Amino acid sequence: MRLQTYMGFRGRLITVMISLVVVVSLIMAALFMAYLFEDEKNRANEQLTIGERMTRELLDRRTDLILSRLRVVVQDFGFRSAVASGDHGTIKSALENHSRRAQTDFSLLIDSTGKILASTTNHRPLEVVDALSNSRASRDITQTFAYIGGQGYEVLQVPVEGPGLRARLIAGFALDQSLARLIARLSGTEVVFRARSDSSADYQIVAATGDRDIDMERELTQTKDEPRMLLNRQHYFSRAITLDNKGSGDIQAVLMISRQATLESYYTRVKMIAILVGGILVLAIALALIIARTLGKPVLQLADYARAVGEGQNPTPPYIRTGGELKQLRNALRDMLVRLREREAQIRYAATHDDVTGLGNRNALMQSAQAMFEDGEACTLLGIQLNDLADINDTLGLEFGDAVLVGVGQRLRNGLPDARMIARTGGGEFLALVPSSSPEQVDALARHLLQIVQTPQQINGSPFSVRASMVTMELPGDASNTNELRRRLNLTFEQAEDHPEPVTRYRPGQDESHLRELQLTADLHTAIIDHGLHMNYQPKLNTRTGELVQVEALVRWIHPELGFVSPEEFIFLAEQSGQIHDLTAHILERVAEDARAWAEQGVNAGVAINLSAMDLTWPELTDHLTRAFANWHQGMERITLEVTESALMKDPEEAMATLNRLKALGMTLSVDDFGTGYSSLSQLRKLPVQELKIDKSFVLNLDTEPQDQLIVKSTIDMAHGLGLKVVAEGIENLAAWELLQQWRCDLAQGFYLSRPVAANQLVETAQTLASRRQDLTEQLLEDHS
Amino acid sequence: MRKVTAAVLASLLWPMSAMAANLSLTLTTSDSNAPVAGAVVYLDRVDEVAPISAEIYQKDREFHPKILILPVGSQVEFPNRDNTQHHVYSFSPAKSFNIELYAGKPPVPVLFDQPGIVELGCNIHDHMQAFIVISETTAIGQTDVSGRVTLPVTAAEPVTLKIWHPRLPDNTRPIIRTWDKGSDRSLSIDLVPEPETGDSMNLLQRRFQEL
Repeated sequence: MRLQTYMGFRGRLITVMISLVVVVSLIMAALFMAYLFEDEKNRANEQLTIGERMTRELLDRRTDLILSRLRVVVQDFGFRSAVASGDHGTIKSALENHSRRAQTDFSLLIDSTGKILASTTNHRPLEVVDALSNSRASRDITQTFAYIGGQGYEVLQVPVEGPGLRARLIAGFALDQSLARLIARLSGTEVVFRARSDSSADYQIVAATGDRDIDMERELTQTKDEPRMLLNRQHYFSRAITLDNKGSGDIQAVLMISRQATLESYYTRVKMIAILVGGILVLAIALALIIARTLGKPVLQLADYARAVGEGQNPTPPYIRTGGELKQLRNALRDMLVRLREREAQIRYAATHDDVTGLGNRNALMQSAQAMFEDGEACTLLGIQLNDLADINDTLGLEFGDAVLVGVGQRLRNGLPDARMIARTGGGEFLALVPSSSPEQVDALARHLLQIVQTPQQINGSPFSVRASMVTMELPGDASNTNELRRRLNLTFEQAEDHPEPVTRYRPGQDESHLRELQLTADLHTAIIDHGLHMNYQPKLNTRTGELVQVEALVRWIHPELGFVSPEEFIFLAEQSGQIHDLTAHILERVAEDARAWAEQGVNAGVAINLSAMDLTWPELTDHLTRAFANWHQGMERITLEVTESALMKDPEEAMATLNRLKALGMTLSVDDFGTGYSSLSQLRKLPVQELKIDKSFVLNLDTEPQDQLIVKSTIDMAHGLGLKVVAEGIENLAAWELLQQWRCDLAQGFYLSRPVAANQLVETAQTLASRRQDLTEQLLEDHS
Repeated sequence: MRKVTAAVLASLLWPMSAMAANLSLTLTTSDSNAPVAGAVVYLDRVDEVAPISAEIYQKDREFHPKILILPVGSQVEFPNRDNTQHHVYSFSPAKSFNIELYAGKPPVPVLFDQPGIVELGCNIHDHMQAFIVISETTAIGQTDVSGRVTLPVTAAEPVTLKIWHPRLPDNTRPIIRTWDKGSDRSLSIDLVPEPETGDSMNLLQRRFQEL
């Protein structure tokens, strides 16, 4: 698999073709060679068979010839007379003479009893006689081949019979070089005569033609059980012909055909085949390359084409010369591209258009804005929010709602002919990017547009008008990227809801405070968990005795990055983000802890804790209070819960229920910031509170403002009339303090008395205040005195 | 021929005081039990024998008779009655002689003074053959067609017989058998098979003669 991907089409094609050629060539060559070998072997065998017949025939002829010569000799009267004479010398000389006539290589004369009468050889006659032992009768002519005295002979025995003469002539004819040459010449083979004394001995070569090397000599002289084929067949085909009539193989003529010539021609053919195969290979490679080129190039072109299609370019389909499948593939790719484009267009349309109005959608608008930012162009963003689309959908149905949206979209199109982009970006929200112009022109355009949108439109035959709010932003002045754009646009829409004007322009800086709010909201949670908040306590003094009665718990937050964050800001954010209950619970625990610490150090002060309006609708508030102040060391009335007037007025019934529960716990309830809210006195009468806390705006300038003095004095009187205690906060000077003493205000709190201090400084502050009691109560003492 | 017959008859009617009985036996071949005709059977003893004169003439390139039985010391003439010359000779140890080519009758008869078998041949007609059996006994005879022969014997038993036939494996000497009366009156001997007549040589000769 990896190989395939590595090689590629061309490589594989070449490989396949070459392997095919190689395999076919090899098979053919092998068959051809096998045939050649077989053929050569058959021909050699045939030749050897012919040679064998020839050899036998030749030897038979020779035997006949020799025999006829011998017959003449044995019938020669002189010879017979000599034999019959019995004289040894005569016999021997006659034998020698007649042997020469018959051209024997040796001869013996034996009488009828087997006794040797004469001999022309030194060979032991017994050997010779042994060789003829199979002759049945002395009167027969017998013939055999024998190995005698290191020489191979054809041995013939002919009876010498005259009237009354009974003897035998034994004559030997050597198997010599000339005979071998004769056979070789006729049979076309090389001839070797070999012989051995017995079957266990090695052969000796007695005559031979041709050259022989040492290996061949060894091969020829070894006793082998293989009677017909011998020698190393790589060089010779051979056949051994057993000559002796016993068939013992003791004397053999070996015919050999050299393979030299055959092998040479064979090698020539091998070379030719190799050259042929090589040529075919080269041709095959060339062919493969051509095919790969003609087939591969278009494929590669198509691959490039497909890749270009994949990358979203719009390439022209490659020209393909060859027809057939590749062309089909090309056409298929081309059609695919067309359909892809269609589908892509559909998808892009769907992705960038609102399916109800046919305007652009949020994506399209943002892309358009992004492009604009990138090009550094300026333009104006107009936003329209239909105020009551949800109600329309609920009451008149979604179709009607859609019809309204379509209508609005159409009007926007008509009203903004030069808009870069008009989009519906949400439920009833439309945005348009128009070329920028002066603020007045933008304002005019926005008002005009709003008027157009709010003009009654005919829907299902009845006139229907929608109400909308408009926002405008200048780009890139008001937002320099799409993130800012989205955030600030939302912010502006939010503001537009509370904005009296029909058109709301984004104000720079709004978003920064918004961001700060986001950060504070996020970090507040961490601060609550990690004790990042800390508590300050501001003492409240009894105006009559000047002693420290209570401290108001004030939460402070030093943000690690933003520094001091005012409690108003982060408490508001806590209320917005739903963290107010966690914050309240946290503060309750802290206050309880700190109060226990002071009590141990001998400061016996009550605590006052501010509750948020949302705490009043929090069912678990009482549980948290109970749990936080479980180990409270004083009476429950020493815990004062301050609730602002406005908080009480938000949901009076719920607030009332909560206050009743708190009162049941025995805690003191106080109305904070009294005089700034719009509480009706009738409701105040019903509230289960024990204390009013006059807002510091009336107290800060008490010594110089007669109106404030009137309000404060009458409020104290009214509260006392209702049976409520009064606390004044914001005392900045001795004059104010003395006035409040005069008006019998119960508790006083302010910078003149003490700033809010940290829990660990409270003991010290209490001591300082104790030392000031004298001064603070002087006036009263004077009054009484 | 008549002379020979006479000689044979004479020898058979030889008065023998010691003859007490006649020995009669049948010769067969040992391989096929066929009766052997023409075998010469005689006793291995030395009698007083009277030499005779006999002749073996050549006619139609044959010797006549083919087998001649002679007492020791007999003389034989070899008259040539053919129209070709003959060179009659023998290398047999019993009598080796040589009569160079001649026509008509050689001047001197040949004396056979040794017992034994003498084979005759002609040096220019290889196929011509005849045998002369020279014996020292009077108890000698030839088997008839049924292979039977009868010899006069003395009482002394067992007797030693000499038997000869041209087709004996070694026809240069007789074979010797002992024989007693108690045994079966037949003997078997080994013979080589008859040589095939009508060989190419003979055919050629016949053709020559027909010319």
